Amino acid sequence: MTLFRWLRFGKREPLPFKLLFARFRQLLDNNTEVLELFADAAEKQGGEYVFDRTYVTGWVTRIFDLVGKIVYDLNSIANQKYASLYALVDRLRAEAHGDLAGQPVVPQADFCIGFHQIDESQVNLVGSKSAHLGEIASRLQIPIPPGFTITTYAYLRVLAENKLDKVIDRGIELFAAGQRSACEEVCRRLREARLPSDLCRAIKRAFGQMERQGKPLYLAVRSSAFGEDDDLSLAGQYCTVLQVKPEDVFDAYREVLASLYSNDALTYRRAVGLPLRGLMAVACMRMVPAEASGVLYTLDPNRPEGVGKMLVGATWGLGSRAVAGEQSMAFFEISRESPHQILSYRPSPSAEVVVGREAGGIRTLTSEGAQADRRELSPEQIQRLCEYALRIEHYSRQAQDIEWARDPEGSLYILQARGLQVRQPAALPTNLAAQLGHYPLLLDHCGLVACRGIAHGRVCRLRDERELADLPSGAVLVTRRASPHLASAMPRVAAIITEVGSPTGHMAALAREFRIPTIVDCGAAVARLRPGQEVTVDADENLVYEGRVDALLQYQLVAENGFEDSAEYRVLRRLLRRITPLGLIDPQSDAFRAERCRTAHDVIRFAHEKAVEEIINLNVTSGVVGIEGARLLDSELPLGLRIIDIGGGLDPVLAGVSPNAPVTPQALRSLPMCALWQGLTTPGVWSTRPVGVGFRTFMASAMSWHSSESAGRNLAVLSDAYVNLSLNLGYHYTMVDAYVADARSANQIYFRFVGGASDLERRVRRATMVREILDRLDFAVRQSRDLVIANARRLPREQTEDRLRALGRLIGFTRQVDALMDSEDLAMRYVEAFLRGEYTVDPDKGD
Amino acid sequence: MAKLSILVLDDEAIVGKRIRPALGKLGHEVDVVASGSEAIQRIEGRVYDIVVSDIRMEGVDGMEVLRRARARSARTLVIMITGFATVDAAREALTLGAFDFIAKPFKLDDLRATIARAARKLAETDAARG
Repeated sequence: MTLFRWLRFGKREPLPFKLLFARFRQLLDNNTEVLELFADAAEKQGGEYVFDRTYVTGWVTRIFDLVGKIVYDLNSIANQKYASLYALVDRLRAEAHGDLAGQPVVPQADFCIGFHQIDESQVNLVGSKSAHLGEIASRLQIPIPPGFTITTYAYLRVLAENKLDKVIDRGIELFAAGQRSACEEVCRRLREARLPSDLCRAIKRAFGQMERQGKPLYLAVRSSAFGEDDDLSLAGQYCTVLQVKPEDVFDAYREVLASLYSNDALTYRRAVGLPLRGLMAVACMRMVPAEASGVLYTLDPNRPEGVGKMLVGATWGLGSRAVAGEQSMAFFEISRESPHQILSYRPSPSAEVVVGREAGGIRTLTSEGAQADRRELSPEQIQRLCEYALRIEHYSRQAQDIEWARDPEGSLYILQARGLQVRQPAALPTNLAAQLGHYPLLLDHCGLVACRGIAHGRVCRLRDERELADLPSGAVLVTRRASPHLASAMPRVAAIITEVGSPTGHMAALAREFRIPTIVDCGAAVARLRPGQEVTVDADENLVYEGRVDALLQYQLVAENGFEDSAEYRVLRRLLRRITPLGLIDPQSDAFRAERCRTAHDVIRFAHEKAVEEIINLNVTSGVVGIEGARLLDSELPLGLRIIDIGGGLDPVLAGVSPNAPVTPQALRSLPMCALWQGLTTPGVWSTRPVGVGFRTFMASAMSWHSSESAGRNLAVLSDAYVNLSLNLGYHYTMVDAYVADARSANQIYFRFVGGASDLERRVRRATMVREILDRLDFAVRQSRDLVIANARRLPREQTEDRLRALGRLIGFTRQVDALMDSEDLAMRYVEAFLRGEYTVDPDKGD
Repeated sequence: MAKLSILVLDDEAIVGKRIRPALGKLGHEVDVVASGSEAIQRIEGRVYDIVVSDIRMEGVDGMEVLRRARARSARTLVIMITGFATVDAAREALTLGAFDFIAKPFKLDDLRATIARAARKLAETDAARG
């Protein structure tokens, strides 16, 4: 009620049309610039560019300037309907600047987040350790034990509930003044802290979900502090409590929180330049009832020149004491190359086994030689473990130090992974350039680098995307198209090389997300890569060598080129993940609301959609004709299309001066509208005679445009470089929003197609046909039931116009086949016909 | 390309961190420093073929490094990097004998190409001197 009154109060007189359209155009331009900035930073992330903090700061500042303006323009068009967005943008801006300053802003959030819902963008909430684990699970699809993280937001609530802020300030002051054990009081108060009841409930709920996954439950409760494990982590600064029974979890949680202010932890934070005031998230992970556990190094840190070997340390039972260096382990040396051979094995001299106690906690037993005839891992388990480890290494672009556990059933779990510090700069190959000369070059600058990096593997040529499922792990994938469908295989491939494709395309963006070295658009040269051939892809230099170039591979793992882990790169990546994900996808859904916006991208997407809607509704409700500037397009196509020119979309001479007079297609000057129009008027596409012979067919085409109701809703808003075209063709609703200019960075097409008045099955079939065609035309496409959304971005002007012409043809074509969706087969035949350029369909002839 | 000795100076550590391996991989010997005074010490210590320096920094700035490097050896070629590519700074640096300019953010390939041109010029200079 209050809100309603406030909104009414906040309403003003509607803007004069001229100003309204000026604001709308400004909104479109700013929207385009933001998208351009997104793309620019994504490109920087690929590794081709050298950038610094100044760039990142400037980038963030500019984005939020523009997003703020967009929200202002939207609200002035929509009469302050979306005023809540102002506060949201302020909050997002503050969070982004917090990231920049290295002072994490903790957003209001859930107390507990399941591991599988975590990614790196939530690092402020869940800490680095959990964020990394979440990435391993969800992005790389590697098994980790089930669990959840109690967020930093929960930690702040604990501080508030117990009024600890001042106690901490005082402790830090004393510590900074050189007083040891200055924070003992803080530790004690945290150990005894009262936990808010809603937090306890949230933890129990998270627990309950794990208990349903079976078996008596024990937890490992681990610190996941902000900043921990980020850089040269001195692991073990904070506390870990093992084999925790559900009823003891609150004590364990408090214990881990208290370790944040131990003297060691404070000394460590001061040494590495982290703020003294810590921020603690706590990971609660199901204890693996480990039969064996240990560590894996993907490289021998003392002999990094031997890139052929991985080391696995293993112990029976739990690995906690072995990892802490209190117990010796068995050692496997294993070849890095798949299949991973066991090169040597040394049994553990220790007979000690650490096990979990039923009553909670752990104890050490002596194993009496019972396991003497067995090894801790079978050759098959070694294979699997090494494959997981290399996947993590590929993703991290750095040698890894990994903790693992194996349960009695033989399932393997990754408990933790972090960069392995190989402190041997002398081990760098000194004469790399000379060594490289010995290897034959298969591809030398044949294509375009989409994601940098170095990888090695055997060539696997993909003829059909259905073969993706059978792709061997670690393969160098060679395909014709840079299709986004490859995403499903990305966690497993070493590198990707394609015949066609663009480094700014959808798949390239995915490759960068997964950090797969990728070269696209190599043309016929890919034929030089024979299936099964061993190659080394150097996507830093746009080269592919025959064979395994050890010197290069070693270089990648130990050289000082892990730019992905530099502070600037991490900040940019974090900002990108905070700012650019798009959650609001479907404008037709209930979730498409201002309060559902989570990112800057959501905000501009929402603002764009709503601004267009305002402009369209404005005309529908006002009856179009009376409005200055809305003019009928007078053409052979009986579309009843109204046109609003917001600047440069119509030729002033040909269109004439009379504001309400119809205009002819010859007067169109808008680049994207002209391209669409060429498509729509391609011979055969928009057949004006009834198509086919069936009665249903006839009805379909008759109904498609002669509905007088729909006439007012067919609207194009134009400028010289822009069109927003909304067509309601009786059976389906189509929207094209496109920007075309000579500079490719701003070019974009957004296409939306949603089915109308027939049963769902037919609508879905029709949508599937549209998706298939768009996919084959190299759009990035998503389909949800009868809704299809397609994008093409940052293509050169000619290619953007080509796609718009294709969309024009497709719009006409779908109108013809609207009611002819009797079977999947038929739908697929239409796809082929369309792509062959046969636009006039006759279903009876086809059957 | 012959093996070159290159000094890289930028007060933003990320720049040196990216450039060192990119040039090192080509076989060049690369030293990286983060302050102007340190750069001048290095320049006094030895003659570099190429110096790559940021133009604006706290303390001793890139212009000073350029002057000192050219004074130490006229053969040394200096490539300036700048975050604010202003015409004035460019003109001044070129007057002082800078070989070329690169504006941040830049592509590693752009730098490599500039280094390659510098290498050709060095080879020509050396050949002319016999």
